[in-house]
Amino acid sequence: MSSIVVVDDDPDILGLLEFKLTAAGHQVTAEADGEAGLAAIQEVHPELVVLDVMMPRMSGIEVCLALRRDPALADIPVLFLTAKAQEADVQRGFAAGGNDYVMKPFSPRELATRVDALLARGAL
Amino acid sequence: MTTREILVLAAAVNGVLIVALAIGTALIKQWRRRRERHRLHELTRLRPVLLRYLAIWEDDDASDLAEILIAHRSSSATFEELVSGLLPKLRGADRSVLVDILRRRGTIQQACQDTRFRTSLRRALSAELLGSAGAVEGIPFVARLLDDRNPQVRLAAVRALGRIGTAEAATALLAHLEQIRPGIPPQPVTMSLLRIGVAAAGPLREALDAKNPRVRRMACEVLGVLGVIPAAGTIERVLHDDPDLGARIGAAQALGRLGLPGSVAELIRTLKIEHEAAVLAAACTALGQIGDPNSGAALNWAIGHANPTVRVAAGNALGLLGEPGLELLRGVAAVPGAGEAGHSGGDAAREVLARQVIASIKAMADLAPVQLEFRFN
Repeated sequence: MSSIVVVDDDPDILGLLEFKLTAAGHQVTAEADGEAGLAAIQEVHPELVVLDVMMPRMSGIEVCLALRRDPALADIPVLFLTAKAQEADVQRGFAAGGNDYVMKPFSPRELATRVDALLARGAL
Repeated sequence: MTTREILVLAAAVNGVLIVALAIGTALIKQWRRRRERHRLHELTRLRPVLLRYLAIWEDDDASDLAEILIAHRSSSATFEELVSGLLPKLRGADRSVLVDILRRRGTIQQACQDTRFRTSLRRALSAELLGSAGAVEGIPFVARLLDDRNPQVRLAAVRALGRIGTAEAATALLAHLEQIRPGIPPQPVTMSLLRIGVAAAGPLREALDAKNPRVRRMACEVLGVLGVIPAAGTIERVLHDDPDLGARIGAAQALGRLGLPGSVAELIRTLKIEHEAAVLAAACTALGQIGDPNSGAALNWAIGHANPTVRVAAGNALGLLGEPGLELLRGVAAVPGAGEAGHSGGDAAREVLARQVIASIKAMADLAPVQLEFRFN
């Protein structure tokens, strides 16, 4: 069982991911904005973070940059889940330290597979 | 009855009416609040069931949840609201599962019927739902809404057909635009056709022969943006023969976007026979986008055109041809007198060359820190 923090301001997506990843056997902490998400990550020290990019208070990119600056959290893999589909947006996500990028509309099945792949890579 | 009695009676009637109105308003507000509370309560109950089903639909024990969702009945459209919100966020099998639930509930069928409902909100929501679900069976119903008396419903129908995304949906949109006075401005239709993508290629190619020039123009533009290469020959014919100025401009722009060297001959021919400056400018721009050096001579002629828009478009196009084009531009810029077409193209040539120089200086300036970094390392 892996610990995952999911941060998304869309209640439908947040709920769906919480159910999906919990059903896949993970322990999920769900937060609805960037600030609360960062606080949860600092508290939980998860094995993976799923981040929306456009969120109130603190964007996903800002959360990711904050993680990368913190030596205790810098190694946590980050998967961006976002509607921002432009090439520059994807580049910005990776430049901020993201490990994977899934675009909305998305397939929860595909996202769960990517989560497993990132966790497996982190376990090596 | 005295005047005083009449005034007292009128005041009493007024008072009664005011009290009745206040009570009525309060009752309506209370009824709305109760309805909203009921809706929120239903949402709170339904959302976890639906999300849980979406999370585990592949498991054997998911069928119970599916049955709950299919059997759920309510006086409000909470389920439909929830699903309409979720559908655009999902893709793949998870989305199909949700659409399947809608079909089994009879929601799709109901939405088709509701496109005839008396309130415009219900008609618009039905169109949105059919679009979000990609319900092909809803196309004739949604297409009928393109002529709805309410403009918001018409726009919802355009968006829905774009989301359904089949050739039939594209045909319905283009057929609507064929009307003398369509109820939808062309821009949302263009957006929907672009959303449909290559599935719209067939109807769009047929639309190049439409009676309405507005449709031919749009078909050219969308075919160009979608990059439908097999349509190039027909678009060339529109550029050559179409009596409508907008359609010819759209055709030239489309040929530029398609970028096929095979279109160069037709674009050059246009420079020789066309009288409208806007078409000439579009043809020059298209030649620049294609970038075939063989178009240099024709563009060199066009840069001397009487119309400054044509001159600048030809100059820009020459600038895109690489060294052969720049060589021609330098030649035009150096001669102060009349160009080949009777006017000096020097102004356009000098402008393009100046822009090229500025761009190269800027590129060097951008490169400088990198070089410095290398030097220090």
